[in-house]
Amino acid sequence: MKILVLQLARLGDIYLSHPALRALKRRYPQAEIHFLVRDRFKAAAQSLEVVDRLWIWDTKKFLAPFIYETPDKDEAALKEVSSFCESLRNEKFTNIINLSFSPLSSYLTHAIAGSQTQVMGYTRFEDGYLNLPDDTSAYFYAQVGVGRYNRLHLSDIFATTMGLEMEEADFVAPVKWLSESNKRRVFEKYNSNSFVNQDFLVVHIGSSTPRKTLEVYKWRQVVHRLVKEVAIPVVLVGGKEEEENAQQILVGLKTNERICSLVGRTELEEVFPILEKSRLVIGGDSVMVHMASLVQTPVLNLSFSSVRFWETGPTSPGSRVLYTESSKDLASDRVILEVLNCLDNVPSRYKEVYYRQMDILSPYKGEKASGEFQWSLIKAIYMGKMFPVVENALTFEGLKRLAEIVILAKELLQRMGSREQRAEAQKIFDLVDDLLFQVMELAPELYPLVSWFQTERVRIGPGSFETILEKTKKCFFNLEKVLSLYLDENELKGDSSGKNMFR
Amino acid sequence: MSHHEKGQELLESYLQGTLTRLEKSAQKIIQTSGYSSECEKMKILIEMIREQLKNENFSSSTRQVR
Repeated sequence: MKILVLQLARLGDIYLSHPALRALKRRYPQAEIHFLVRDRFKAAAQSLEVVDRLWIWDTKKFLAPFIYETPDKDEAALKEVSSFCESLRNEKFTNIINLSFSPLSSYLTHAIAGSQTQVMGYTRFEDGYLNLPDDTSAYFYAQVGVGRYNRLHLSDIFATTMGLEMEEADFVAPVKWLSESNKRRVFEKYNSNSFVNQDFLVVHIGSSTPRKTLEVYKWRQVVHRLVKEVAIPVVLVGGKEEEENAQQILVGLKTNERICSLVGRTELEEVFPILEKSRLVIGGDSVMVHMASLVQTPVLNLSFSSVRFWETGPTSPGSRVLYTESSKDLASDRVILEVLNCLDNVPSRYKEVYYRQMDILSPYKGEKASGEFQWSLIKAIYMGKMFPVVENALTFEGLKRLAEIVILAKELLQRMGSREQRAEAQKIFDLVDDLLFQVMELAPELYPLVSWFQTERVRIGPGSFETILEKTKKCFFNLEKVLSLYLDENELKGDSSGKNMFR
Repeated sequence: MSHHEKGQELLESYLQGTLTRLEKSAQKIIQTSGYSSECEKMKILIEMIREQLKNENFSSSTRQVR
């Protein structure tokens, strides 16, 4: 068995894939596991002992003919891509698992899959249209991402794409980086710093984009207060690009036994031992969260709306997420308070703090997080849970609009069965997507339902006209089934007397 | 505008031009000979270039681009 796993997303996504890869090896110990990642992020994939061969997607190399104005640049670039695809195709993988969920990876997956290869994750049909071969990919397409309502963690989604369940033992860092010899080497390197021999806090001051972390002046406030109020040393970490920020943060602080900066000094392989030894890691939405999760160190994740903390938040026990719309809304006082709460293992008093218990992030205070209805709807559609009660008048109105759209669509689909009426019916049917979009705008609570429905239509794929027609009818039939849980017979027929506003 | 920003803008404009050209070529291939292996490789290139354009959060697993 030869399996290729594609992870062409970012550094953090590669670390989020680690547990699923371990589960894959555990399930198929004899399988040869190949892993394809981008050149820029390959460090996160190297030394992952369950991977038998690492493949590198070198964007620079493929696009070089365009950048350096090579003669016949289109042909030159195509040749590079074709050659790489051919190398992968020649491996004759029995399975390809695409964890990238992107247009690029979908074309690539199809290009390298053989006729006998079993594919999971985004790929393409023979006519080039997007193919979502498994239910998890369809779920991802419909429900995952910023502005949506999924609450399943990405690491779980990756494992489910593979058809696997993970165990606690899958959440570990690469063995090499936590070996006694590597740990010894790392702590000898930083021996002159006092944190090495005692408990300490790690503060990660960076992230891939500024909106995923605190402003420098706020980090300065947080770090200065931590040094004053917390009894253990504070260790700053970050990349070379954050060195200047670190300098600004440290102004007014003497590097001593209470504060130490490793910003710009650590190699990636040194970070794991440091995180493992730390009492708590504090940081924005960044790769450090995922690395700490792999060594089971609690994280206080400062999270903002550009990221879905449900999907990419910390998974280590004892972790918390402190969420605000943007970093501008988060005062340094709040951060300090939450750090102290974490260290003392005291529950938070604030509803914007979420804590991890088992596999779920739950809000402290027991209040429902925003998007609760939508999440309940997702659980009903995909996991067989009970459909949530509609309490919002606009949502009910949206359901009635959907019923009207279903009636219209069914009538048009019926007409399409006749050749004479097909062209005209098709023209009107093309407006159905616009109508569905209007429902989502009118009733945002119904987003998951409409998105699920649209995705089921995407999954239809190519075929004869009659086959596509029948499958489309089935999609509308399934939508009608859901609507029948909320609307009575008259309302389903488009007759809204207004008697039953709420259920 | 700094030199760096000017350079970025020029590169972006150049890549946009390349993207448009490749998209036209791909469309032509599809119209003349259908969705072929060559067309698919072109689509791969097209997506790679699209990823390089500003504001394209290309790589996150959780992006919304279809």
